Amino acid sequence: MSQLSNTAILLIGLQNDHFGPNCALRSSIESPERIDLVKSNILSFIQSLLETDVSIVNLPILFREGHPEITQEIGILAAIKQNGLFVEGTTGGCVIEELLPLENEMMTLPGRTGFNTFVDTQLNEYLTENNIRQILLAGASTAVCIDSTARSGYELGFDVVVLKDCTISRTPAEQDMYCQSIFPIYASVTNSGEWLQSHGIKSTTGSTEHA
Amino acid sequence: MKTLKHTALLLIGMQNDYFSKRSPLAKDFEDPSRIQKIKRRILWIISHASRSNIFIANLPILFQTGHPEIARELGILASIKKHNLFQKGTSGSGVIPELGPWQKYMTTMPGQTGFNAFVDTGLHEHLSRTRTRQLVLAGSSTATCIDSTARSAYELGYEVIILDDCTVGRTIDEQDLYCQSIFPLYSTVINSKILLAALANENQVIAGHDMVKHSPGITAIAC
Repeated sequence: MSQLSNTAILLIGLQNDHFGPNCALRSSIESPERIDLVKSNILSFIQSLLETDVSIVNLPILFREGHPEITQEIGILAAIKQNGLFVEGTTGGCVIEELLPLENEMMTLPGRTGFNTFVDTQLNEYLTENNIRQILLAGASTAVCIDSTARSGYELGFDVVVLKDCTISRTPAEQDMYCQSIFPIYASVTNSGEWLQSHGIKSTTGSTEHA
Repeated sequence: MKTLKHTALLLIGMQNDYFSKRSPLAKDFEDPSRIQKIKRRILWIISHASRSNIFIANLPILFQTGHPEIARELGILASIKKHNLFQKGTSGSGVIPELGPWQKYMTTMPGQTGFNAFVDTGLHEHLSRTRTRQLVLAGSSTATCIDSTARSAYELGYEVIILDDCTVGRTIDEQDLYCQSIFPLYSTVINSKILLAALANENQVIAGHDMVKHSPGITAIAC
């Protein structure tokens, strides 16, 4: 079956420190149950895509022990360093266990130590070599890595689609604001079920919209 | 801590199409009188900065004829394309006339054809050569060029400072939200008065490095 070979889904930060059972994120965002909803929506979406030619690209953020890559003294990267998150070889830095059986289906592009998944990875080269024009964004978090990647993708000329039920923000209000008034400046915003339907792909399971 | 020796003031989008009262873009901004106030405040900052050894970069945004860069014709970008704004060679894309007398105190670095002032301008190369570490951002508009440029600067390792009273959001709520909860993810948000105080005393530090502890915006360690 050959369809949508010009499309890739970018899995951004699908690691235990974001989406694991006892992750640090859970205690620091509003309505943490949204983490499970978003994770389950992403996993269902990926299951549906396995029947298509959509490329699945896994883009973890990883630091060496002690975070020598982070020189910033303020902001989220400084907080990540302080809290010892996303370290290579730790459980927190690992891809979530639900994705482990799919490792052969995914292209993992390592190297990222900041917000933007195009920086220090081979992402642009990979997409260009594979004639991919459309990128679907899923993962964490909306105001940080999703937004930075979407802006960069737009600048590089990709058709950027943000999946609103497959991205997580710090608060539901922030998610609404981004999806209603920031992302539309440079991207399409849709939910995973609508996207599948509009491309004639059968959904394996339903997606659940969070509040 | 770094003093103003390592500092650059980045002026983003100081062009007629953003700041002229007659710009067709005015209708995309709530209470356009804010734009005029911010313009005057930025000029005031420039008049002080020009007496210091701070590097001032003027970074206009310019689109190619026909705006091929704008694929998505929604909102502010649709207005920009519809009215041929920020198009190379037009008067609207020109730097605001009030900046004229100050041009000799600043370096104009054109080339930016998107939101991010680091793309195709040589800005990073210039700042690296001069060992600039701290960047102060002013201009328009908050959710587009200010945010894209600030994110990029943070990732490049600069210490980013955003002037909350010298940047313009499309709405007042958008401006507040960015200054309270988005910009603190990667920058220090200050008022122009703090910059003016630092400019009055070259050895004064603009902002501390304790934002992680004090910023209520950083509630989550999500990346």
